[in-house]
Amino acid sequence: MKLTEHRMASISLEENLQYFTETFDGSADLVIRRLKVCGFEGALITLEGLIDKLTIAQSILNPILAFHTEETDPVKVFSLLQSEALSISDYKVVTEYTVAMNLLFNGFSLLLLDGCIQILAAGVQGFQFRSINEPQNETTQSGSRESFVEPYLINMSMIRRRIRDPRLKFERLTLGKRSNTNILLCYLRDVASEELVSSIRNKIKSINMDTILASGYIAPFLQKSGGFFFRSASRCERPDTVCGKIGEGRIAVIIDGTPNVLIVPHLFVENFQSFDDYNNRPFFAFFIRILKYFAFFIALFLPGFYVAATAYHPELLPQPLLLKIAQSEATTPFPAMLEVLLIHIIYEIMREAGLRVPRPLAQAVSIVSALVIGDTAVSSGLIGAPTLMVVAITATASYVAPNLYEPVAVIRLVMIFIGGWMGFWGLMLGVFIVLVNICSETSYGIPFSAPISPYNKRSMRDVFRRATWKKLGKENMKVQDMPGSKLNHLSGGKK
Amino acid sequence: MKQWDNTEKKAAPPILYSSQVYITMFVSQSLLLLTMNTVYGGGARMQDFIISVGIVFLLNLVSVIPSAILMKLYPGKSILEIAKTRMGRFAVIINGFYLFYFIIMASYYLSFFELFLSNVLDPKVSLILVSISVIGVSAYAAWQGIEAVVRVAELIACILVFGFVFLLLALLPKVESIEFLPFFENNFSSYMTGALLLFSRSDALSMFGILIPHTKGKKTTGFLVWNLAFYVLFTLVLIACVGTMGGYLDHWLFPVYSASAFAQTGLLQSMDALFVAMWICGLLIKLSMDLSFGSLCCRHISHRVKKWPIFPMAGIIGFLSLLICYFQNMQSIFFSLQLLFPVLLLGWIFIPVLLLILHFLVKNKAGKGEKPHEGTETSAKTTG
Repeated sequence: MKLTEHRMASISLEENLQYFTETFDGSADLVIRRLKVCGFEGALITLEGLIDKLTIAQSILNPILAFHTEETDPVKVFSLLQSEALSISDYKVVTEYTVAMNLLFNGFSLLLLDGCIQILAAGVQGFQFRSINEPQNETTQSGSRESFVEPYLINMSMIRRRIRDPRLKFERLTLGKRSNTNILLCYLRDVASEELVSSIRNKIKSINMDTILASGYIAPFLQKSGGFFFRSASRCERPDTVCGKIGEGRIAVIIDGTPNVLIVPHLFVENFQSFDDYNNRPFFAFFIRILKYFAFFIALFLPGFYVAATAYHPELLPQPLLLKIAQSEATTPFPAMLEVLLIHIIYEIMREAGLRVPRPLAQAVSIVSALVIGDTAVSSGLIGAPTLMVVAITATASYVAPNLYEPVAVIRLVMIFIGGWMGFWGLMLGVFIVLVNICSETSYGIPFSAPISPYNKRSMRDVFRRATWKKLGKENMKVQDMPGSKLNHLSGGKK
Repeated sequence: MKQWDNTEKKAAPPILYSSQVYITMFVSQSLLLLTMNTVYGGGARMQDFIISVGIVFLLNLVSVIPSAILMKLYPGKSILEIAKTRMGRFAVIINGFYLFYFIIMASYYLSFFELFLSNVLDPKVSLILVSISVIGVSAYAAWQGIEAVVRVAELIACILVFGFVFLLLALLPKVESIEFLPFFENNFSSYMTGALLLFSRSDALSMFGILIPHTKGKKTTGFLVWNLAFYVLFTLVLIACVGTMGGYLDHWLFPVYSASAFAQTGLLQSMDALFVAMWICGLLIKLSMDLSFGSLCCRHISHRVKKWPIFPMAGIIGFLSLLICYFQNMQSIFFSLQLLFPVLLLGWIFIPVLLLILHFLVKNKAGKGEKPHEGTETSAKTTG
């Protein structure tokens, strides 16, 4: 039996029940409660664990069993049940098995009545889920302490509570042939570009996968893949940040079961923005952002530069510093490039282990790592102290813009290799490739490098510096107004 | 509520602004400044270039006139497309010539960089490695499209401006008036030789003829501003270099490099790394643009051709650059006025003038009522 076929429900209760029992093949979580409603045979179908039993008892079973009518037509009885008996607000009347099945998976209970082709689906969701906690990866000093959770309906409500505007639209899609995962497209109808919404909707609909279990399953379909180092779809766990992005004409994609929301389009400069920037004074936000850009460059190029400078261009460094480095390197058995590469790889192993190791063991692992790398390797003369310092600074700087960690970790290794092999000129080739990679990408017709390149003064008010709220609030800058954008709202030319 | 269209639209043509292209021209032209030398300068003194730069400024203004008139007559069409409109099948010769022009220009600049690396920075460096890696990276950038290269150039322009300002700040305190010799001591021809050398190595006209017609924004005013700004900077750097090291620079193959190495700064021992960074950035932009333009020429020669000519072109450029490095005869051809100047004259002055003449001939023949050009081609085709 194909689950995707649009088969109408039967008038016979037995046939309907047979369909469900056969489809589930005696699955343990399918609960069928037979009952008599005003003299007619009926049944209530639910899935164990997805519903709230108390709500079912109070809002469906008790009213139905207590309901009496002289009506002899089951269709009319069914209609009376809806209007007079049930004390539940969220219900739907369906006639197709696939629709009914989908609702069943979403925590609805199905009420069937013999002699009636219609099925009443009542929303009695009541599964257990993690409570709303503080964000783990996007902590702020003064912003909201709420982060998204797994159920998409809760996430939807968190956004709705912040944007009380009927023009905020949630568009539901179902994805995954087996998982039937609920996906919500969220945008402001009067702000988001129609072309953008249409394009994202089509891309999501075209995804052909069996299961969708996380945002990472969908993200590659929404962004350019293959050869592109950076993400053009961002992940966000803060509802306030998502609301801010939606206000700029971006589209949020909420995926059921994932505590992250995808936001498209995503530009390079957004990796350096955080919610605190908008709470802090503009001068401090400017300072922090400049610091982040600087940290990004350090994280990406410092080890490569260090290797190139020590191996090929010692004249670049001040003499006292050069002497210190030479003194330290004289005692180590490896050339600078190999040394830096080794420590970086060891660091990445430790990071990965720290992320996966069971919590009780985490402390032990970190102590061993710190001892081995920080102390023993240097004192035994295997690794030079300046090299270790460079790697430590680089590793710390990598986390200043956490969204960029993935590309930074890999590109850095390549830069070390190029710096050690070709020297400074090779390093510049590497820098150029990274720049080309950033500048060649467009995210839904908007250059990934905008508004720095193509440059637009008006859009630069929230890039390096954050303009005051008086200026930001005066005119809402939409993402489709970015320079070089090819989205339909663009009026053409630089503004 | 309005029903939204679910159909995917075709990719829109690239959007380029004239300011972006002028910035790219600045980046590409900065190579002129960085690679300026007197050894291949026809006997001119380094100081003489200060006068030569002024002549180049005027030459640029005059020589751009035919292309500017063509741009007015054929809005939105590059010189390649105008040639096709006016000359039909024979435009293949023009496109072939431009392809040759871009190949030799790119080879010249790449070979100069290879010479610099092997002579100054790292004598042990493998020229083949340099050639392959530099042209490979440029081909990668060209493959990503002109739009991407132009955006990168915008970012690189910041590095260059920063570099030049830093260099000026480091050198200006060391400038001494005694280092300057009286002007116009030499024959005027030495100034002219210097000017023609700079002019023939410049790619302002090619960018103006090919890219500017497809941009948005102020085109001719932009050219004036760009020309003025670039040559002011050029003069300032020259004054700083000559004022610091005087006639000593005349004997160096890479005088600006020597000056930057001489510029002692507090934090960095010398600024030669900055100089190298600036040169490579400018070179990569220049090579990427030449490869992109060359691929455009191929596309105009045959419509079936897409982007792939970038790679054989890159191979030819790499090979040619190695030949230039290895053979002195080739150096004397490429580094003097013998080859580059006639080619520039033919490509960016003679051909535009020829197209103008053809335009007016056809116009006269067709009578007053008929428009001399027919059909329009999309900017996407030209800008890739």
